[in-house]
Amino acid sequence: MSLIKLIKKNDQVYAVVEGNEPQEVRIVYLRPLSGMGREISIIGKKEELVCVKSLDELDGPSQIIAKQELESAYYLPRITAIAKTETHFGNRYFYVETNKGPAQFLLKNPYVSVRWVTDDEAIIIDAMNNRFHIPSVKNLDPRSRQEFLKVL
Amino acid sequence: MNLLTKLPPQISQKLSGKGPVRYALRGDLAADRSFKERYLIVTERAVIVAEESGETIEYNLSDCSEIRLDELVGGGRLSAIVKGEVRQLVSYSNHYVPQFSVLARAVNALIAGKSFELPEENFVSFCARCGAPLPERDSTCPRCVPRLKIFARIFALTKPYKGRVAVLMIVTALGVSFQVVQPWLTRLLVDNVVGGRHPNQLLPLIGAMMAGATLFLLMRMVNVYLAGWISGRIVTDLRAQLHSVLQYLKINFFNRREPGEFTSRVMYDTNELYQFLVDGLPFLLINSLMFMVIGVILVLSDWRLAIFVFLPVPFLVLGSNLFWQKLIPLFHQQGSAVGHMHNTIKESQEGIRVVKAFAQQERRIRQFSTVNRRIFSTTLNIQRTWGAFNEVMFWVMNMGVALVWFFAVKRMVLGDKHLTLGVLFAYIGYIWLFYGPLQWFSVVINWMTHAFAGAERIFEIIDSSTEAFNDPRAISLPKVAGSIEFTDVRFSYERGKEVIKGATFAIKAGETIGLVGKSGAGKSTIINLINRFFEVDSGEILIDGVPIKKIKLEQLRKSIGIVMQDPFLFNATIAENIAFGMEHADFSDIVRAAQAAFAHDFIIKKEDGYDTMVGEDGAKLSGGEKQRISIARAILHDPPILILDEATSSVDVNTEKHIQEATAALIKNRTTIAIAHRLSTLRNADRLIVLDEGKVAEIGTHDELMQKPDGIYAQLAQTHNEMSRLRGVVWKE
Repeated sequence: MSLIKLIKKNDQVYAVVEGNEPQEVRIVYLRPLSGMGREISIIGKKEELVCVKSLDELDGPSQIIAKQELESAYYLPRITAIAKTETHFGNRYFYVETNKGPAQFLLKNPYVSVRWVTDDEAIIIDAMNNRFHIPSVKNLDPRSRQEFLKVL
Repeated sequence: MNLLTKLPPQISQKLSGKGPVRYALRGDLAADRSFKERYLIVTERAVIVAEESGETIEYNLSDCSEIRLDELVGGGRLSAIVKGEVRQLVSYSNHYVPQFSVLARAVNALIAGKSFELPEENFVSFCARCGAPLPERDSTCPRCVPRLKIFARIFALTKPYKGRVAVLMIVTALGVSFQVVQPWLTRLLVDNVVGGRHPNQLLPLIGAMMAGATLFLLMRMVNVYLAGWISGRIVTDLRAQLHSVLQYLKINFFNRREPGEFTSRVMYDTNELYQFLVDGLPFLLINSLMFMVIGVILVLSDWRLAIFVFLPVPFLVLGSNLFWQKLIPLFHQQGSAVGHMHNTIKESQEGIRVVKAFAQQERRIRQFSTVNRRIFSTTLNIQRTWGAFNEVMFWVMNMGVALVWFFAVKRMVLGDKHLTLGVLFAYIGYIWLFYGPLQWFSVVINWMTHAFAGAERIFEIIDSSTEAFNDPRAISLPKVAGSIEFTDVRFSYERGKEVIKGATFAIKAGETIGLVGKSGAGKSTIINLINRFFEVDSGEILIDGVPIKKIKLEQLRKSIGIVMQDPFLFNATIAENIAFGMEHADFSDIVRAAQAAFAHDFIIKKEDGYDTMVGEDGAKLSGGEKQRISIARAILHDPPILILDEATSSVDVNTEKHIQEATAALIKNRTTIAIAHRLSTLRNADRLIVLDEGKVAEIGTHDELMQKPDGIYAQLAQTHNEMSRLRGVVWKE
């Protein structure tokens, strides 16, 4: 039984810890790159209130609120296809399709900007610090895969 | 900065009757967070969120108490506090964080009835011309940089050496002529001498061949020397210019770059450019010229045969391009693997004690083997592709030559009088001169692209905005007394992430101030701002009542001395390091400064005394010794304002005692701002300024602040006491 309950009033999330007064909280992943969906910390104004291994440790309504908050706090469009890549003066340009619509971004140094979560899963952090997710490079269509590997 | 984005008609229509628009900004995320345009519009009376479709949500401005900025991962969000409740307005990706951060401040100023000055920067992250993302905000678009412009800029660097450039051009043209003449002499030799028409031409023709070859050799030697000399000068000038610019670049230039990037620009990019100018450019010039000349000769000699010579050209050019497209990613992969290996070796050496202490040798060996295997497989792949490239190109050329033989011999057998054996021999000679460089054109053009990319990166640094050392409007103060005033100063290293949030305080000349706060409270940022290492977002910093923006930067910096937590020493002698801020200081002054800094005694015990080389970053000295040399440096510099930034944090208690004695001598008669995590070192300060999350939370003397048990300072002191007890050192009240 979880000792913490999350409630959402208008657009702000509050936590009720052991029946005390609700307090404003932020919800963060401990490993936003390598452990998305896993260890989660709920932070009050000054300090961490609780750290859970997964959302399952929260009650049902709190889980929904936490999930929404995390989705909103970590903007990570999923790349579904890579239409084109270009290299100009060492800068790599990507023109991609994502689950959030078409996007374009630039990498200055792919060796630093592409973080491999596993041998197959990658998080791309562009020159403006925007993030994009490729859950499986192998599962990209052959042309997208070729475009991706071409500029790496 | 423009905060009045043009609105689409469907949204403009909805705004009729709502008063003039004060601010309008486009974000890139819709309500469902898909990539769609969404607008935030602020009028005199309302805050309006408009979707691309024209749908709007509106809040009365009079109901809003604050516009709140949330930093998210990969973007941000603006919310309004409406009647005490949070209402999310717009979300946006990181492209728009600076714009919305400025908008938030502008609307908050509007709510508070204050005026707001928009910053000069635009913070755009997309090219206005082609719409592609930019590598940095407000930077040049690499897609739109014309190659010709870069070439012109490189060529402009040869201006001081135009005499030699002219000689180089002439020598190149002569060299080509002497090379091209050889097959023509062969033709004469075969037709006139072997054919028996003019047997007496044997000696003159052989003599001409030898003279041509010798002159060609001489021209090549002069060419190589001149190309090397001019390229060397250009690159030497560029390196000097780069290093000179480095001294005046703004600190945030270094903050947003990887460590070592500048070294790479100075060494690697200039070297890449040098190699291209020495080898690539002469290759392009000589062979382009030769290609055209031989082409004309072939057509004029026998246009029908020339068709067969030109036939394989598209295959050679396209094939070369195709192979090169395949090779580039492989080179990138090899570069990455080699870089990884460098790091692994470096870490193995530098972290050897940690590896041994944790008995992780096998793990390190496994990591190295993985990288090593990667290099092997990539290199093998490159060799395979490279080998195939060369052989296939050679095969295509041989096909061309075979075609020429076939049709030429066929015509000769059929009795074509125009085609002599001499013409055929000359043709074959020209074919190899013609084909030879073709396969390398793509390679050299790619090489040129790389060199130009390096040149562009070099020019980017040279063109970066530098600190305002030569601002003609800046004034010199007759004498700096040392009073410092902050008025509602706001600052963020990255727009949208404010670290100083409206700091206001005043320090009297000669006063000793302790700057206190937890890590990340903004203490070091305050120091950076006083030094004008960064410009404030808003508010003002005054020294002796004059805004620091109006004081000559050189005078400002010379008026401030800093003793840092980890002082940097140059790889020079102790005396040279002490005299760093005063190049021509008298040796007796250096000794006096060292004595005042309690450094003299340890210096004279060293074998070479003041001539002791300190090693790279003072590696041959202990932490305490380095610190006392940096204090001596500050004493000799004798500034009216002194900053001690955690000067004793990395030394043991005994050394701290010595340093405190040294600093006591240093702070006399000057404004001093001291940061220390050991609060005991600050208790003698005239006043303490306590920072909390970028705001001034408390100001007062130690005793005054200790009177507030719930105050931040008192709590920090309490924690500090507990820590000291754990260490066995109690801070006596």
